[in-house]
Amino acid sequence: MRHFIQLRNASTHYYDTVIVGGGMVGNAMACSLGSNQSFNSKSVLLLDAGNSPNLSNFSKGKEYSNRVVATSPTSIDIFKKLGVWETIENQRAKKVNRLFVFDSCSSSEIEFERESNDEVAYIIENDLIVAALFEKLQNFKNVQIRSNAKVAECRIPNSLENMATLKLENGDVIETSLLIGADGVNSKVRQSSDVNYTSFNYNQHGLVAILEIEPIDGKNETAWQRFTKLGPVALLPLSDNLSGLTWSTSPEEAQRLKNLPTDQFVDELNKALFSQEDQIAPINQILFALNRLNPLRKDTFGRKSDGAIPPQVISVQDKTRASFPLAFGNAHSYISTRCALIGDAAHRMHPLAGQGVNLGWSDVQILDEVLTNAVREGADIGGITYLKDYDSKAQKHNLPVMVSVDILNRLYRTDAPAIVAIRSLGLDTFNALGPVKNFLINYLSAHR
Amino acid sequence: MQKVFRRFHQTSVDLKEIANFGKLSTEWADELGPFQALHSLNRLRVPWIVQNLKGQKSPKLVDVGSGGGLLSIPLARSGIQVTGIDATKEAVEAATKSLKSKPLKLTGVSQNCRFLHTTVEEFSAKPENREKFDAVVASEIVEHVADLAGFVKSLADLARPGAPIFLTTINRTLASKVAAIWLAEDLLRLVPPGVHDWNKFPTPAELETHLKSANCQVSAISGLFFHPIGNHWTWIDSNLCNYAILAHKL
Repeated sequence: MRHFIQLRNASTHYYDTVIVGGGMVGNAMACSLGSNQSFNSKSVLLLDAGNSPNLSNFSKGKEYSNRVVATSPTSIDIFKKLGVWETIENQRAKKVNRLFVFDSCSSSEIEFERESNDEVAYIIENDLIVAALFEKLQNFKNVQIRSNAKVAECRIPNSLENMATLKLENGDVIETSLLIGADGVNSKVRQSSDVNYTSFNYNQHGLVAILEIEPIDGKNETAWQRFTKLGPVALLPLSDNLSGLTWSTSPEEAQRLKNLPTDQFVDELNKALFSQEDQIAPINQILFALNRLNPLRKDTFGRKSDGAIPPQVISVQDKTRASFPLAFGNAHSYISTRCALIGDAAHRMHPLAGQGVNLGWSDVQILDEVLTNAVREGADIGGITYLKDYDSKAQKHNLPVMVSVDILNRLYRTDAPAIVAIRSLGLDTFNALGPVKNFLINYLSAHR
Repeated sequence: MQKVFRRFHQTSVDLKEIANFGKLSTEWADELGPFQALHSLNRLRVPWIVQNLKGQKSPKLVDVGSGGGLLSIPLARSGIQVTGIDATKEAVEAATKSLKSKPLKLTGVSQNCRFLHTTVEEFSAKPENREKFDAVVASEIVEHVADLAGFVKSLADLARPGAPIFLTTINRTLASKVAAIWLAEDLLRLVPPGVHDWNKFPTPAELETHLKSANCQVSAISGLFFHPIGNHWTWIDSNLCNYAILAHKL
């Protein structure tokens, strides 16, 4: 400790809560505590390693950023509560009212749809969300923000006798009652704590890009996802003629696709979306026969129902292709004394269901509730007594989603006929079972 | 002991009780130790007290029988100016020591809180304390005192006119004999054996009588129920076991 204080020009500051990480989840946490009545007389510091974001980069007509998220109705509710939804909507957020999932190896398909006015999700650029939250944060007197602040060292105590301590790269020392790690998959806060972390790589990369598409009937309101042998390809609507791509594939393929000339890339993408080469005829015949036996089926006489074909991709915007490795990770505990992990710092999952950051926002909501109780009951907000409520509630909410998505990804990365048959029957059955499907939609867009 | 006896010779203090709590003084801060039910009781009694003082800017409160500061410190954290008094020297020392910890200093709790080794009679006899407090708390203490009427009178002396008085204790019923003595002390060992003397548990009627003679009016009585599994408390209607009284000085 002593050498901290002796550093020249360094100063020690105390904040009741310090949030490390100014991303989509960290900023939401700061906003949540900023607007929380019981935190009125508490001090909150948000440490952002980057520059402060600028909302005007996302006005209509400006180029789209290639990192986008499917924001669930529950998360939209959180944005409304935090008072940033209007800001986001006034810039650009594309409503998606239908999610269509299909298989490259069989004709099985599943369709998620909500009542005409309800959304399945909104597709929003990551950085727009960050900027909208950042703008809102300026209104809160109890929240301070430091941009370009990088954490050099992080110490988490064993007991409440001591504070959590951060040393920044500029030498400043910050002490806090509660350190919230929102610093992403390689979280320094997590690494400094003694929590165990399970992780594995999928040996897949996610390739993203901004695409120009040929809208069907002039509309682009369906999110499409096709499972291929190497991973799922998803088209997420951004505007009437633009969609975001999330293409999970092998690392080598991702590298190759990223460097292809535009027209060749578009050809390969359309092939991945439309190709019938991998279809297994006998399975399709069984599916067709079974469909005829289903008393609940819609009478389509075996032809594709309307709107069951994705839009054609016309072009990919310049310099929007990028790729990143995909992995699974979960901290066995999201907390230790004076420390809580939220978002990617606590858990990481495959993007195929678009749930990752939504789980992070759910963490924010749960932690905010738990801290409100702690303050109301006069407790030390860094105490395990309260934080463990956050851990158990968040784990219980997140793990079922994470494990299901992991299984889905494994199930669909093969073209072995037996597996294809099982998953196709499963998907078709699931699609036919209205109540079960509604339960899942409601779980993923929970608490509505 | 002789010295203590001389000092407290005309008070409501029960010397056997003082010795009991002296032995336990190192255990106050342990959230899962012998005082775990008192720690978890904070989840109800802190909001109860704070809600009833809403609208007052840093009200002055005296916590009589503050022990290791289990309730005083959370109240101070909630922005209340707390004076904790206790007749057990070791408990006051433990509480005072905890105020010196960095977390309590940095969060301003130490400045909001002080602990004194004294009896309520001695403390309330001083003119600077008489009718000077915006709130008086005696939580889980009245069942430990020797002279209940004198103790309640002293509590009332500390409250300014109109100030709330918060009491929590255990009723003297068959249910409390089973729950607080047989189950909590003997069977489940939730609290150290011998901590409670069932014969000293006051009934709500007795407390109300004493409060009335001390010029206080009872505003509300509510039952408290302890769930040993999960170590948490809930408010209930029945006063058969633990209960809370909110009174106001007239």
